[in-house]
Amino acid sequence: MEKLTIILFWLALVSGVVSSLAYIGNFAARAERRVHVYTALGAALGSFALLLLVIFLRAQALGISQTAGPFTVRIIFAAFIIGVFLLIESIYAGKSTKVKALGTVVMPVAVILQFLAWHAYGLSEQLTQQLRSYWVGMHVTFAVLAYASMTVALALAVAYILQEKQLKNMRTKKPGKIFRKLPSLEISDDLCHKSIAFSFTFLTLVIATGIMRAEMLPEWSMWYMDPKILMAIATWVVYGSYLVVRAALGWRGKRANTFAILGFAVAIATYLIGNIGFITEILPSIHRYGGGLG
Amino acid sequence: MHIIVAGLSHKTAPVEVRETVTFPEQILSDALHMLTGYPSINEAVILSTCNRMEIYVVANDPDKGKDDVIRFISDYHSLERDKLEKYLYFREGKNAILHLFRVASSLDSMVIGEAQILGQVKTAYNAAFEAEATSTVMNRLFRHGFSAGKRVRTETEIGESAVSISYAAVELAKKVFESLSGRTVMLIGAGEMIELTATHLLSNGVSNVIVTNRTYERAESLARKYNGVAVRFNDFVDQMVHADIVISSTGAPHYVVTKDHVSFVMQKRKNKPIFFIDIAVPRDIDPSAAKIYNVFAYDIDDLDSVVQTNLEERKKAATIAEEIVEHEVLSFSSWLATLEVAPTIASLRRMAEEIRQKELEKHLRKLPNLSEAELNTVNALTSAIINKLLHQPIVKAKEYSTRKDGYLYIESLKVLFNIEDEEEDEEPEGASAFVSKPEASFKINR
Repeated sequence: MEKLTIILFWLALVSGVVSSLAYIGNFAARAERRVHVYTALGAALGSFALLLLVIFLRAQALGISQTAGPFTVRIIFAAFIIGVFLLIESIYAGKSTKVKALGTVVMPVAVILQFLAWHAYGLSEQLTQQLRSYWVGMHVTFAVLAYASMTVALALAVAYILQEKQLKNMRTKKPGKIFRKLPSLEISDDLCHKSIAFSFTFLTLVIATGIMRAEMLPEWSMWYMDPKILMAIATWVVYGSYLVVRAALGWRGKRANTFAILGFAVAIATYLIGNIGFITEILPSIHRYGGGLG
Repeated sequence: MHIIVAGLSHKTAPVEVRETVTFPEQILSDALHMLTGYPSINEAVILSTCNRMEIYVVANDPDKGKDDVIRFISDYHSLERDKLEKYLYFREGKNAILHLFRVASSLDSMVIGEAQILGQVKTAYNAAFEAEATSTVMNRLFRHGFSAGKRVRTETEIGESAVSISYAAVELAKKVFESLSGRTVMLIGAGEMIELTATHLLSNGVSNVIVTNRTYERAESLARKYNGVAVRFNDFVDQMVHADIVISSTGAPHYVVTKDHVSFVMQKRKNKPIFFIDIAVPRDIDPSAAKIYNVFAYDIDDLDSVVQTNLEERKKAATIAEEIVEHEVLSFSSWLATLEVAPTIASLRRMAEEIRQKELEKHLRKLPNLSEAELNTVNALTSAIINKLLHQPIVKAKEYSTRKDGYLYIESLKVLFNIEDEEEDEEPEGASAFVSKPEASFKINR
């Protein structure tokens, strides 16, 4: 069983690399070749399906309550980020052919996550007693979904800012290749908004499930002093404010997208606590278990 | 079988000449009948657009073919031959094929990458096909040309970006708004440019038009044209709140749309993006308004710089397109070469058979007492010898004819065996369809 998992894992990784190269190649090329477009999408779909199989096999091998180990979590992360991208592609492909530019960011990120999963942990992941729980499983899954859609939102916000900068300085700065490959402002802005709304929903669930689990264990009763939890709440506040000012004050476009980038910076800081050795030493957190559960 | 093109275009002839030498659709069939009536011309297609007039023919003989085409044009349009020849260019063989493929790919157009020419070439071919002026070679040549043109359009970005001011405006608008359908456009002022841009926007899906003008009646008449609403000039700022795109072109000596106006509108719009195009000189829209959040404003120079950049891009795409076209020419040529070799082989066989018959006749006279069976054997023997002897040269000729220098082998075969192609009555020419002349054009000796 483990052998099959490893084979599927490597196939998923190769497929992810192929897809990344095809997306980047298409983005960099002057004219798109249809073959490359199909290769990119096909390999992305393949990678997604293989990753789901890997996750399924891990859940079979470890039992559903123990799938939150550092290897599997990164695989779930990689699968979700591709999943979010494919979902967007399937909805928006008819509206704009340029949404696929997102693949140039999403696919390499998925590959890096898989590589990190293998490099740092492999299949020898172990969970402490406190983490063997359905609550933790849900908590981690929601967290990964939230991070995956945040990453997509970041890519879109950056695309928006770049595109807007070009559009505002048309005469002084000659439009480059990227200008023609990026989606329109309307699409970037709208999709970024939706990704953040999606992310925010899951972030809320992450915090709720986390607190419930902490309340169950007496040794975690001081959870509200934990730096990672405080940062997660800060992230929740930033993304929440994004949604509020957008709805109430009509903040869209540049302001909203700058806000989205700021939100991601806070989110990344949250992610790193408990994941990077020296940060964990300065800011001890109950999330240090297993070296990075996200 | 020689493919020849004779023509004149914006590159060789001024408009005064181009406008006299045209073949509009209604006379095309008649003209084609006349042209194919010339003895040297087997197939013909006439392409006549506002920028070029070209006649593609398949002729038995290159010089006679050219001469007949010139005679046809000068007769049809009652022009003096010498005057006409000054403006004409000729290509033959591979260069003629290359020329057609470049024309169909709009690499020879005034604006490289323009979209109409491929359609015009198709229309010209269809007219010739219906007039029964085309046959094997022209049918294949033109169909191959269409696919070359199509390949260039899909595999390069030659026609992708806008190269006129009004299209550049639409292109930029689409960078802001994903789709223009359902959007509202406001026209301030009047004029040719504003109408052209408005037409492009409407054909891209813009559905509502608001028109304003200092003279309300003019606004009304323009609004009627686009099925829109006319508003009084004093109210236009209030109405601008509903517009996603604003095009301004008034003769006012000062800014018509000030920064304060735009700030007010943006507040009312809750920061929904707005797109301004200012085609007036002096400008109508205060350029500082462009700095306002979610306002995208462009003047005529901005649009012009977009056009210039796009033109450069087209030039880059054109180099890739040239490679595609050359590749297609090669692929067509190899097909043509196999067509070339067929009559030569037929002639070779016929010649051998004639020799055999003659020799048999001569020698059988000396052998009057042969039985039926013996006669058959002699027949079979002589046939077997010529067939075996010709087998290798024929196989090799077929094989080599598709190569780049294939015509050399066919020519050698003709010279060595002193044969002519089946249909040709005259003496064999030293030239084949592929003797390509490096000069762009040359004078005909009369």
